[in-house]
Amino acid sequence: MEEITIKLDMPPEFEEEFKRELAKSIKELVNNIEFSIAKKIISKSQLTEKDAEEFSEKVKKSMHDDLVERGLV
Amino acid sequence: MQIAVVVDSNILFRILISQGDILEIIFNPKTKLYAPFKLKEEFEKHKKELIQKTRLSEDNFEKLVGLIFKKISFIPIEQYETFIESARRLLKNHLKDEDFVALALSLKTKIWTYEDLLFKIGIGLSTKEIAQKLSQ
Repeated sequence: MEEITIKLDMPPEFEEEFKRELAKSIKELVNNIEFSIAKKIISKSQLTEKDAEEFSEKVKKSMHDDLVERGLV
Repeated sequence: MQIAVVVDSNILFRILISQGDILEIIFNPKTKLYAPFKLKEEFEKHKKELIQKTRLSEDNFEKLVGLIFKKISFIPIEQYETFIESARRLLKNHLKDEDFVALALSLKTKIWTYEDLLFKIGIGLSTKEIAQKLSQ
């Protein structure tokens, strides 16, 4: 993986503010990268709406059965 | 403005086919997403079948699920079981969705869903509605 070094001449009185802003920007950058990765992977998915609905129904039934077993419904 | 919603299973599985609004909402820093912990367990139970149907490699599937699950707080039933009875009363003869409704009631929020009944009882939020709220 490539390493990038950025050097900035920062007056000491802005150091804390800079760190805060940098952390915020990095968080945003990571989120954007993760979104792009997810989008790219999903573009290859062959799952259909029908499949998604069937999985959802199966899962809901199982969740309901679990509540019955626990005596909660 | 932050939006907190409970994610229905019909949304969770649709993430695997959506490159549009659903995914954008998931990754929007203004959304706070919740789901019953049992949903995560059930999702993992169907992992093999999901990999087969999506035709994704196991590596890509794991990567994707990891990224999505990082965005959702999965809540154990012990934290909302006292709301199951109220959920049952709201849902009447509809023998599912108790977990999602109980969790939403406990968090005083709505459910991001495609389930018609949840809209009828006033607890459902559509993808379009959430996208609109986020753009305000």
